[in-house]
Amino acid sequence: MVSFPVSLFLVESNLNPIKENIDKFVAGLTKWEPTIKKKGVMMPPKVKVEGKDYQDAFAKMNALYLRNQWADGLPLMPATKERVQWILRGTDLPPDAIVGNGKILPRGGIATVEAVAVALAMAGGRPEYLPVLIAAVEAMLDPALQHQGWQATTSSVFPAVIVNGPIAKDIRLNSGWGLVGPNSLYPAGGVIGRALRLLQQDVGGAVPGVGTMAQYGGMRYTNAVFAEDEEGLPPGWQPLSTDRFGQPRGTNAVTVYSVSSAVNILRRGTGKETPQEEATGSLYRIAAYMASPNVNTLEGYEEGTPGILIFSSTIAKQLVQLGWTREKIRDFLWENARIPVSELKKEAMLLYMEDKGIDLKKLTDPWPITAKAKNIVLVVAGGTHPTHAYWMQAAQGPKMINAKIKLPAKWNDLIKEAEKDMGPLPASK
Amino acid sequence: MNRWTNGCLGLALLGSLVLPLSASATEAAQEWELINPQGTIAIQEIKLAPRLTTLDGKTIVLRWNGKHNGDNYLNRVAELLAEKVPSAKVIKVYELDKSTIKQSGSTAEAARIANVIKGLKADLVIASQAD
Repeated sequence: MVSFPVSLFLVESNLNPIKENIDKFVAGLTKWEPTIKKKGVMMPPKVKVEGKDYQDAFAKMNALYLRNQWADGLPLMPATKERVQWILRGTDLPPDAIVGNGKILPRGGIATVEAVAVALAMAGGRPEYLPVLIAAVEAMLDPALQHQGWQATTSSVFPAVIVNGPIAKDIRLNSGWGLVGPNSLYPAGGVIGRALRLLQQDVGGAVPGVGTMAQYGGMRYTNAVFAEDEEGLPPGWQPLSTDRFGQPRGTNAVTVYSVSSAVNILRRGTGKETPQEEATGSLYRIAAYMASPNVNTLEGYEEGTPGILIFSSTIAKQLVQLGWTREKIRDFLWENARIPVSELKKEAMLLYMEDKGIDLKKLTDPWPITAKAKNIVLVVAGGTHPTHAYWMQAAQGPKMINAKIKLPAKWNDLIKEAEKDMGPLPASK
Repeated sequence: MNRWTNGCLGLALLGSLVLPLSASATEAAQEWELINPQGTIAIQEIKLAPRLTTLDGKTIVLRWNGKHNGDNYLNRVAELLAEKVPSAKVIKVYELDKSTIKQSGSTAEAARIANVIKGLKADLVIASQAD
């Protein structure tokens, strides 16, 4: 193997090191023999930590994990055998069962149930969170989602996991105020998302600057894990899992896609408008936010989503009262989130579009950000207030994958224990 | 004993029951054996193509995945190989078939690109990812 001491190839980069090393290069091609490893399973050794007391061991473990690049900068819990076994009560699957497609790329570590439980233990999780995390990993590893792309990319992508079904209430997964966190009364999402991030890094090798070249990182400590506010859905609206994936209502399921960014949109009027003027104006404003030249969603233009628009139940119900059905909202946003071709040209988007197989001769002007209105996904969640919408723009290859959540036989016992451990929620919550 | 001293005695007894246990839990030396968070890796055997002992007379295909500047790198490699091993046939597949200038993205597409290269009867392939 020949390593070339060159920095990134930028405009007018120095290519001299190639010439300086050409003999090594040829030798590498004709003399170098790769090391052949025997078929089998490589098990990493157990991690030994000693301390003069608990605090000392805790601090040493966290320092070690930071040095090994297994951490995220916030304190981690020790994944002792006992703690991992406690977490594993959240599934009936054996610890060595492989989740979904198995390998988390680019490193190719195997997502066994035990590995998933270890990450959840480290993240400060509880057994009842495990079924959601397993389903999220299963969805993430679906080949259609191309997780290897958004794991390794220079783009600062993170997965969003939207949960439907009664499990959300069982495990105190947030669907309301402070939706994507933090919210101490509904901590599950932050912890599950953190465990998912640890899996991406520790098992999947998404180490900053090595396995993930994400330039900015961003909201990746906890990813984005939340529940749809199914009780707050307007009459006739179906949850995401039912509306887009045909799951019977009441099915416990996750929907996973990759997000490039999230933006809060102040959509409420000044109070001087009529309710209908406010509604229409707000939808125009939201459409304007959506009409952005997102290179990453050109792939998957036909069937992928350009993003998820989150409305609180207050907003959704107000719109419905004013005659805006879900379809009508989507159609309006699709129709108005268009970009004039002259703008696309100025923004140097046309070459990208051609590269992604879009026929420039058939472009409609203005150009819609996605092929069909139904690709725009509406989710009802967040604090019950009419002022803000939240747009979570999709990232690379904007497919969405839905996976059912499988509960262990003793689920009810687990939830009773959790209620006892966590204590009652305040009456108003 | 008045109520105050009764109360103090009660607290002292409670303390003797609780505090030593609590203190021993936090002060005992700890030896942890933690499950490694990196998980397992399955190693599969793959059959490697026979190694070349010389580049003389061989067909060397250069494959670029479209990432920025990878073509610059490979173009320079092509120039140097032509100087170093003039008998070698160097083919830039990205100039012959532009459909190969991409990240494969799926197993099927990877196989398609590999087949294009196979069709060129390559003895050796040099790929650049760059970016």
